[in-house]
Amino acid sequence: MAVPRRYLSEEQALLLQSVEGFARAEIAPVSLQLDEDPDNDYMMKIMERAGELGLLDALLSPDRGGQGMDLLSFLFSLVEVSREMAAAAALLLSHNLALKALEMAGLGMEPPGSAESGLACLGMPARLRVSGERTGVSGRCDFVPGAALARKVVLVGEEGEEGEVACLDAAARGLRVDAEFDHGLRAARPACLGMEDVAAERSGRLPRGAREALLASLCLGAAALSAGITFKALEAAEAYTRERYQAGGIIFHHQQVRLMLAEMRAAAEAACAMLAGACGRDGDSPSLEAALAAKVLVCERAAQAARDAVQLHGGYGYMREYGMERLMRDASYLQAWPFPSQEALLLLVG
Amino acid sequence: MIPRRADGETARRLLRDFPMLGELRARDWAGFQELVLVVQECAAFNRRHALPAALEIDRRAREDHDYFAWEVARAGCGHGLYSLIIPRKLGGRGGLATAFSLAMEELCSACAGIANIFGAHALGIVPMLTSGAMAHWDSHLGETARAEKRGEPLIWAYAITEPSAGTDVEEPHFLARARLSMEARKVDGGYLLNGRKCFISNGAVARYITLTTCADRRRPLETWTLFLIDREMPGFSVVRNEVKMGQRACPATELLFEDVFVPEGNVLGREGEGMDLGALLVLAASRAPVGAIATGIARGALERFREWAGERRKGRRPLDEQRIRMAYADMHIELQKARWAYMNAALSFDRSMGGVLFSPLTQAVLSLPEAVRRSAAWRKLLGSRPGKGLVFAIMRMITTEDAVTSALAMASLAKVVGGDAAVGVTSRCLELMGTDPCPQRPWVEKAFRDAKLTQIYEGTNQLNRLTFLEAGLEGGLKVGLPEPLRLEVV
Repeated sequence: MAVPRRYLSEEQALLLQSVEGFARAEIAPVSLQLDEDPDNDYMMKIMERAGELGLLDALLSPDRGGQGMDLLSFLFSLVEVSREMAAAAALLLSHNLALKALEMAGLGMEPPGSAESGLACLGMPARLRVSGERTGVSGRCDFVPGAALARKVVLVGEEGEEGEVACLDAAARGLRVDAEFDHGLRAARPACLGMEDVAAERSGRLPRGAREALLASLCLGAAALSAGITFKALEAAEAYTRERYQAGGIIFHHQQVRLMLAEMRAAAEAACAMLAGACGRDGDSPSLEAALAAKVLVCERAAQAARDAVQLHGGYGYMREYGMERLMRDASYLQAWPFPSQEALLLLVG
Repeated sequence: MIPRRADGETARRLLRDFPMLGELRARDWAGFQELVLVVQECAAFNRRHALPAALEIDRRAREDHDYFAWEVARAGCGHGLYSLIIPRKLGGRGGLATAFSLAMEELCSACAGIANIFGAHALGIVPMLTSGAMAHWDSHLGETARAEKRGEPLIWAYAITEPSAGTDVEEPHFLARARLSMEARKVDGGYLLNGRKCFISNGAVARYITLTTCADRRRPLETWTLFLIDREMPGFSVVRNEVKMGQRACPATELLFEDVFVPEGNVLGREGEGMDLGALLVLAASRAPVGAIATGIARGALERFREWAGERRKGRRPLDEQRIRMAYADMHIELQKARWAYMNAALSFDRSMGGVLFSPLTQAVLSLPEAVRRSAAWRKLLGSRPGKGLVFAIMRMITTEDAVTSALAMASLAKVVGGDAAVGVTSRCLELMGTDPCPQRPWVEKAFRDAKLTQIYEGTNQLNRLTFLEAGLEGGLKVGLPEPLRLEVV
């Protein structure tokens, strides 16, 4: 497991063991191909397997048929998945928070999180104008992971304490993909969605405080994905530097190399601590302030770790087959989503 | 096609970005005008060929790793991009590191991948110049210039990296303990080359390759030797093109040598002089242009960022926000530092080695009738030990080991400053632009991917830091100029 045991309860440790096994067995062997060919439908098979592990309805409460997993356990699960492929973790994050938003707003999605119902994706923050129930959703959401794969699009408005929520059918008239992003998180098929008077399947409002909690979860999700990247960068770079021969010895013996690895290790440790701290004592009460801080710091350090991992691999790091360049591309999106670091920092001080 | 008059705006821009060029303009007006023309030509190439095709070439090369945009490569002929550093008397433009660097910045502001076709080409030619291989100048460099005039690119590459040795082959202390897989075994009349070279830019498309390898794997430093390879030589083959994150328009290729016979005459310099002639002197020439490549990438991203920041979105322009203005200023400062670093290094190299190429003796040789210069007897003389000794004697009369060592230090510094600026600026642009799906985004994303390579090739930035320290400050690394007469140690 990537996440150190000291952050985990017994129950969480068992969960993460199975998630790690799933990620290593199901995702790692195909991650390069999926990144190269995002249209490959194997990603949906991976999502089905994730569903069997309870990762597609993880955050839904049991009385809605979900797993009732606490946020921290879910985030640590994402760390394990992201270690093998951030795009797969991004799909899980987007899907689970979409269902959570519907639950918070008292709107259902039946049956939740099953392979039959397909994936949902979350567009947040979205510029929305909702003119009435089942009618007239217009606006835009810049970056929606899973937008080109999901069957349902759940949008949460960008302003107001009580956020507007709308659930759209991905095939609904007036809903269009304005642009696809193919630089990072490619296999998650992130896209910019535009809406022009789209008939919403459901719409409503989040109760007071729920939008903040959802936003905090989204920021922490981005941080968790970044933490996974940091762990992967560390693991791969350490393994490579212990093998790569240079000038009479392995490059791990260079002090500067060990320093770079140590910085990655420190970043990974800090990421776990920040995720745990931001989720509250019960692991399920996210603080927006702590989440924004975690999002900024963890994502920045992950981007640096990814760049360093490429650097430590030398020319091989720049080549696709070693997987390091993908970490760099993925990490760059996570620095900017759901907000660029500076915007997150300004939210922090109000 | 090629602009013949230097325009005032480009000249003013150059003097604004590089105040040190003011001194050159005062001293050598024609030389300065030539630099302006080079930049204008590169800008024209960008407008006509690179910018319209860059994103599409990048996409196609991602999908088809063997794709090479020959049409854009051919278009480079019309702008003199294959003869930038070929001496004038051989039909080239006679530029050196300064002209080459300015060209690289300009070209890379549009597309570093396309630019690198010409950059790696020039890099392949540099060892021909630094080793004083005059026996091959008319035949090979002249042929390159003539091919360009016909619109048929004759492309060069430079090969030093091996699968198990990258940094090792660029630093003498490391090379002494390197684990090498390639070897050039001495045989009657020449050498038999066996092994692989990897990550060779232009490797798949180059006709000529300058290559360093050892003649004895047990004594790599003492036997490190520079060779001129023709891809038509039996036993040479291309293994594959690598799948890279960026700079995709220029293929990075693994090359295989299976009993490739290289005649004695294709040894550039002499056996055992490959580290100085084939690596350190070449890096002293090429690292400033790599700094310029990085600078051009950062500049391109920053120009797109400025466009984005100046457009109104959600009712206001990002550039009206103080944080964006501060970041923009910071990034410009990084860009400017990178510019000054590479220009300082390029001028330093041109002062140290340029004198050799422009010396009256060299020019006198190049002024001989072409029939003489291309005659077998003349070439045999220049390729002989006394002939090479004469060239090295000229080299030693005109420049010094201290001067070229200092040039290497400055070039290494420029490469570090540029590479770090490129990665820093492109990352920051992307971050500040957030997830806005604006038209500038694919360009900045491409620049981000292109930028990382500038911290890796021509020696990692870590190695370059050490080289700067050792060659520039501590005195632990010195570039040696070959002795005119050398006793052979058996």
